[in-house]
Amino acid sequence: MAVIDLTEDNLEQYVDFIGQEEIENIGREYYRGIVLTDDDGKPLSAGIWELMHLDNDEKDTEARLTCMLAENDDEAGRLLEACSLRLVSEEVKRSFFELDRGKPNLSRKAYEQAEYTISEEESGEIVVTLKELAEQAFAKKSKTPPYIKELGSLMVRPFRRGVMDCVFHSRRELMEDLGTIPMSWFEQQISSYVETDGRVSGMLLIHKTPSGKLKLEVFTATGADSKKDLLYMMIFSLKQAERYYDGDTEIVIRRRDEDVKKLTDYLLPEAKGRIILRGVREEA
Amino acid sequence: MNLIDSSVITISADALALIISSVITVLSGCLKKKEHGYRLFATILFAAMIDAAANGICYALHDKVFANAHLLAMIFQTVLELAIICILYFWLLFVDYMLYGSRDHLIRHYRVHFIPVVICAVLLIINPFTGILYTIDDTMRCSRTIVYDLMLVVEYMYVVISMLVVLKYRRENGRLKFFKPEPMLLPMFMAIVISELTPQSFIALGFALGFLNMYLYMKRFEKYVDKETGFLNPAYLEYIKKLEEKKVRVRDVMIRITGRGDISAMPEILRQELPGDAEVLHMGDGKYLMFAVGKNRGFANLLKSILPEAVEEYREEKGKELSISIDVIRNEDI
Repeated sequence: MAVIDLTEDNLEQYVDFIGQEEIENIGREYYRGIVLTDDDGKPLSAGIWELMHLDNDEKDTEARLTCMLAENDDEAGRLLEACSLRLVSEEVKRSFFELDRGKPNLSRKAYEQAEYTISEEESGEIVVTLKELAEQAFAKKSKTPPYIKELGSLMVRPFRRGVMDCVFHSRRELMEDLGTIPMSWFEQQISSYVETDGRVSGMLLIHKTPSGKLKLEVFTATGADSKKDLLYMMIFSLKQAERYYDGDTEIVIRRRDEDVKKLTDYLLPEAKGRIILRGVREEA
Repeated sequence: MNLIDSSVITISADALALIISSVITVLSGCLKKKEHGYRLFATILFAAMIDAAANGICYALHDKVFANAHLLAMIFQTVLELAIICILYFWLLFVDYMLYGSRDHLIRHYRVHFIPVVICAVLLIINPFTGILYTIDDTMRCSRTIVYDLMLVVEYMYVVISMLVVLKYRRENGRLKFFKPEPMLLPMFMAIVISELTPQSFIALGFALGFLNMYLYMKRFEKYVDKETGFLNPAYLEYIKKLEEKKVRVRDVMIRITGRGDISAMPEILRQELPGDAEVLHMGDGKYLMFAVGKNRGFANLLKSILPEAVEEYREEKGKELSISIDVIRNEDI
């Protein structure tokens, strides 16, 4: 048996086993992955996780397991052990996962055997269709001010400055690797930004996954009118998305913190996360 | 001569206001500086000087009887009222700009607030023909109508709105470091109250004293500004250390940026690349310190990837040598 680190160079070999949707994150700065193979190189299990709070001195480094696959519980156990060794070497204090019945994952039993504490919770992600979003009250406003623009109209250097401004001013954590991820990762026509005094003062960045879902990755605004700007960006991007995508296109919103949760509760009062099993484990 | 009824007191107060406003205009250099805050301040001072002069002339015309006295009284009263509404509107813009530092914010928010200024200006211009706001009686004194009192309410609303802007800012961002509008507004309010209760007018003097306080604030802040680069100077660090000792502020992550080569280009590059309201200190010899909010090193890492790109671009464009190093430093290293 071999434990192989997933890299951009070898991920093509395992895309059939892991799936395009999950494997696309390999290569991003805070994503790690391993594959356990048999002696012939055939993949038996795979795990991908995102490292969180690496740059935050006030919080422990955590790992969010985003993709865990194994043929059976024995392989699952070996995978979790291998992951644990990797996590400890990266000084991760805690790992957690969400067991969404809609996605392939290890069994609850495998996690429990690996000493994860399991609880039933509302998922941090909500999924709505474009049509459902367009029917919300806030979406009825037709006009947005001219200083809300599509991402495609921005050059790379102002985009990077805008990212820096948003990271500098944001009181909460944004996407972990926002500083290193290329602008092309985001959908240029439906992502939007706020221009104030010639600089970017807010961003709504959407990534399209291989399966065609639209994932809201960054949603932040700074400055005196941040709340209004957030709403305007949402309306702008929604109108743009309606032009380019079908009504049944799924939109995934990950509620990273309480602020985002409050905003989504306000904008989408009826949207709730699925009930999932959440597991947490303190790493040695 | 009854001193209380005499116009001498008002004229003296207006002369003093004119002198104070003129001196502030010269000492602050606001007419020469291009920065938007200074331009707004210059506009307010200019309107205040016109207000003081026009008010003084209006009071000097009281009880005077000569050809065209009535016309002069009407003209200068109109000029005076226009000046007051300009002062109050631009004061609102000024307060907002001092807090948020954004021209776009002014344009987006206060275009609508300009409408009452336009309406009042139109009413003032047609007033000599209609008497809708006030009339000048035979003693050359102003007799107000109820429409005039409504106009006053609108004018003072600008001051109220400016205070609401300050309160909103404080609620969202915490206490203000240097800019405190109360010492500026207090003389104005007192002057307005006294002017309403007595036959005299101290409004111009109240404005001038308010602006004097504003000027003193600017001077207090200027001692922390590095004249060479326009960034902050090392004295600001001592100020921050005092705030930390008083537990008013917690030390943020500090980032040191050191340039080598054509370091004269660094201020422009940093101004372009860094967030506009970042606290950046010029320590001399191409060294800069920056406070990055909170203990999150993500910003520092981001800066390490973005700033070298800007330096590389400068090198290619100008053909001059410039390199920078960026590192995160601890308290003890400063």
